Amino acid sequence: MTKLKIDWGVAAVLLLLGVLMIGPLLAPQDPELVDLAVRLQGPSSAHLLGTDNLGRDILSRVLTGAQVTVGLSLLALSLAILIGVPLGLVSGWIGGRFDWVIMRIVDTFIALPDYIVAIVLSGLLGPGFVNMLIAILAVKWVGYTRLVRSLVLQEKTRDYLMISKLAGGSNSRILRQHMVPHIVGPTLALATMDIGKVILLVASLSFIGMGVQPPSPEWGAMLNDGRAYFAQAPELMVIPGLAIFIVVASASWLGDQLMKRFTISPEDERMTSVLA
Amino acid sequence: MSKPRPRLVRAFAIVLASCMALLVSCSSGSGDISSVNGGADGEKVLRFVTVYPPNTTDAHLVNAAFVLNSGAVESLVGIDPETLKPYPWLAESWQSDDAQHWTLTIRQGITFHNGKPLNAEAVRASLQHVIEVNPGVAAALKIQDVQAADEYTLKITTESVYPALISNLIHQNAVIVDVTDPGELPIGTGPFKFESFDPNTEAVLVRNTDYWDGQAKLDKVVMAANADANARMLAIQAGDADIIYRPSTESIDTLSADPNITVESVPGSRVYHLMYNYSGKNAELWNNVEFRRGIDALMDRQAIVEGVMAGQGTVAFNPFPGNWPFSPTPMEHKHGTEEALKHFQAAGLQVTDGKVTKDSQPLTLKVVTYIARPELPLIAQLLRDSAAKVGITMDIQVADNIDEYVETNEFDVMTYSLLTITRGDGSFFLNGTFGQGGAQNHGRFQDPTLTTMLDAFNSELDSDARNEKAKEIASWLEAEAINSYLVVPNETSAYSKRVTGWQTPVNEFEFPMITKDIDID
Amino acid sequence: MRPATWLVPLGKWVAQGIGFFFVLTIISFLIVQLAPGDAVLSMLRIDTVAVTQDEIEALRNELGLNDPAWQQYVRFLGGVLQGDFGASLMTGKSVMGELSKAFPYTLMLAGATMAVVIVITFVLGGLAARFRGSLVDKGVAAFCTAGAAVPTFWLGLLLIDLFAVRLHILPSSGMATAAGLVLPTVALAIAIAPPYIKILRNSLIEASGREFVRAARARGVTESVIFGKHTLRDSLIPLVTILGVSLGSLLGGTVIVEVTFGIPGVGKLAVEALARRDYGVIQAFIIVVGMAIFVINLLVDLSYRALDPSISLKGAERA
Repeated sequence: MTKLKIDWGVAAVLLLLGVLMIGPLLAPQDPELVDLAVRLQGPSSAHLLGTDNLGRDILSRVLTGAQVTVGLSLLALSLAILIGVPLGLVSGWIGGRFDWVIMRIVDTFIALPDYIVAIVLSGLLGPGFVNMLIAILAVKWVGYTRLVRSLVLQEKTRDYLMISKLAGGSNSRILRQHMVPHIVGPTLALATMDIGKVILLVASLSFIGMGVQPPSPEWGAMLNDGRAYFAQAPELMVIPGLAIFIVVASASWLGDQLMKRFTISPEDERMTSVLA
Repeated sequence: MSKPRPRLVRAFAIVLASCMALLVSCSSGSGDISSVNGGADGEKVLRFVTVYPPNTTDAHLVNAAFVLNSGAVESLVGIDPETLKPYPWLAESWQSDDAQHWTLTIRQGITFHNGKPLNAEAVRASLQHVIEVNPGVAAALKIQDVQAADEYTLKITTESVYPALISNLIHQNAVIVDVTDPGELPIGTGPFKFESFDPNTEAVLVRNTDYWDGQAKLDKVVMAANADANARMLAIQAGDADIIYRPSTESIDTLSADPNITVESVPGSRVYHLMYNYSGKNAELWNNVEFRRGIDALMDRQAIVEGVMAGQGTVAFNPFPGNWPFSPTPMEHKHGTEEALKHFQAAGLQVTDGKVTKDSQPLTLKVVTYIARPELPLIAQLLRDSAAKVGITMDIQVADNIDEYVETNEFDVMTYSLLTITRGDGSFFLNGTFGQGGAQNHGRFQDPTLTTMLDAFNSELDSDARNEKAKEIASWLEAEAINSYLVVPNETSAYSKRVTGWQTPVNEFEFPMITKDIDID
Repeated sequence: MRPATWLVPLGKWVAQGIGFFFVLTIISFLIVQLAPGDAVLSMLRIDTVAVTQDEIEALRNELGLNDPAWQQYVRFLGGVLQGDFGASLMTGKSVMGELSKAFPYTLMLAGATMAVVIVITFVLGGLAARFRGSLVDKGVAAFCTAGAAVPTFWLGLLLIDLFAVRLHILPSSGMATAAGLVLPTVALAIAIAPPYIKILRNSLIEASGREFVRAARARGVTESVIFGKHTLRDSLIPLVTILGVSLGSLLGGTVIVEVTFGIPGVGKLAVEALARRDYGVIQAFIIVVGMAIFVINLLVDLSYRALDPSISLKGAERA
């Protein structure tokens, strides 16, 4: 693949994500506006993707839902990075007892599968935006801590760090100047790969009734609502499913590209893809 | 490049072949279904899919009415699905002078599926057991003491004067089983007996040839449950089921169009309603009858029936709508924005340009709803939309577990669904919702008039007089607009045209769904 | 020397296992303490029985739900240590019994899925590596992207619609027969397989380019021997590495699939228990699944050592 091609692809994906983020502005109608007179109608000029069981405009709901689904996922992921990366940095750099404690916590979280932790947490906390955020955060921070810690351990042995340490560089300066540049690439790659996973997790939780609740147009919840009408109006289920699919596929493709682009070792790549 | 690698190719070929073999063996597995479905030659097998899966095989503990529905067990008292009147079932008759000391005569000549005779002692043991293991049934029966006076006479003493005892003996967990039987299967007295019962998959029932009340027409019943309405619809469409209980409202058109399927729909025994919070932040508003009438007038019940329930429901204005013995005479109700505004004005609120304000502030109220009943969030949205027309903002909160959420008291209106007519009696609804410390009195409504009427109802033994009293209370609730009773959802079933003798029950809790009269071609 | 190299890691594993077990008991206990609500309302059948607030409180007291947390934890731990997670509040049956009834279904689903995953990994990963850069390779890559991106439950529903409703060849839900396993297995396998395929493809390509493979080829060793002796063995190591992690995600994935397809496995049991606030079941679920994954990771570690002796040596050195 030539460089130019990749750039176009990345641009397209970014454009798609951009469209998703301003989705609510593009929505032709109020996504929660109930109009029973036009329930379950097929695509028409008034409703480009038809209407759902309450006569709500599906296009508007899918566009608005993008912000709920993708926005929630991005927010959760950003929080996970904000917590996970510094912990990994410090843990790897300081080492010793602190590192031991952090790694035991990480081990415990890693040992329990994402879906199970998220389902149990959101099941116990009850559905809702904040609770779901907590549940996702709880399963996602560990990946970053582990990745960053191992990158730090790898870099720590390099000569130049020794030199700059011997030269009297402060810990925070060394971390900032030498470590951070090394961890940005892999972290970004892992994050991009994670977007898709988190979106799927969000949608799955909503699907089993533990995530975002109706009438909020979250894609997983829309899909679950649409199940009952599958025979009459398959688009109710197909469209949100497709939306999830397209976004997740784009995000993971972007993640792949980023991974190839940032010069990281095959071990890093393997580690990243295992964690993702 | 290098030449092809034969070993590699062969390895893949082997893998591919085993993949094929796996698929073939799986699809040959699917052939087994039809043989199970068809049963042996000439054997009449019916496959029934109900809604809630049983969590256990224990008839006294099972959380769904699966065991009662299966036709394997019977109770002392039954209830007629058409009239909702109690009838003598395993008890031939009952009598009490003071509604506290009861004498029940047990029907003679009945044996359990294990051959053990049914007598007063067996019934006593069964009742004693259910009270011990099931706190819900204990609370429902309020039995202080139960004794077998002789072979067929049972004496029950209730904790207090409790005319509702007979009605509560119909509770799905109060069925009579042989509790001395060591096996896992419920040993009842019904027209069918369990051959196998795995709560996770299905129960297989066979005809009980020693049944005391004739012979079942079917040889065998395979009964399963699936809480997913879509899966039930798929089951009957795919021919995996002969009868399904409660197809989703949305699937009714599709199923009705199927030439091999009959869809049956009867008014149910629960009422969807709005419960107001009489003790919350806006208690002052809700304790104002005109305000309540205004909110009530905002609800277009016909639109709910048609729009939300696809016609599968009946309009209601009180908790006991319909033609039941305790249904009150209907009153006239007007609805619409104009009507609502009139009431809001009478309630002392300001109405300018069709918008309601209170102390020149617009009103914002919190509606709490839940998704276990999928129509309720939709009703909440309708309420929000009509309230918006008069300038009242309604914020919708969807709760995970409504009964826990409302303990926070953080709501103004809740959408709710309760069985109002249970076991042929209004006692569950009236006491649960309006009784002293009632578990469902989420709005914490209290009124001396109501309490007096309820006390009179609770101590009335004569069933006709009792019905009259229930009727009075319902009329009072309707006139005072205590909560807004909206619609009765229909209970539905869909069954193959080959099935005869099936009757759609008005709820899933109180009836044996599989009866000796059901037949299949 | 030999026993020592094996005993040291063994002792470490046992210590780790015990530590992890206690952490799990604390997590599962705390999680339930912090959660809202309890099973009392459903136990009292408030759907069908008129009960009062007094009766609700009385039952809470009777069940010890109002006792101080440490008392409840000691009681809980005491039970767990005897393998007794108490009775399910809803069924009155032992929680362990409920779990062990559900486990076979999940194991069957997970096992069948793993079998299918292995098969498609070798077929697709092998083909992609063999025809590297060709249309086949691109097709496999596309399959991987799509498989990883498609929501499992959505795929499941589409499969149900196609095979159960329209074609009537497979049951729509449940596992009454083996055929019930086909759709859930396929749906889950498609979601799980992509990383395996990618890794096998890459490592096959990497391994076939290695010095010793080239050298062997130059020596005239046949391709099949090279494949069997070097390429395959080498490529299995990264595959086994991700196995541990991915078995965890497999168990997680089974939850969604069990709910979608109505399979009575542990995942469905846990989701229902969550809805019913049957916390005993959830606690047992956390501990049992956690320990199961611990054991799986141990086995993965062992097979990893078996495949690559240098690791066990390294491990011994470290120890």
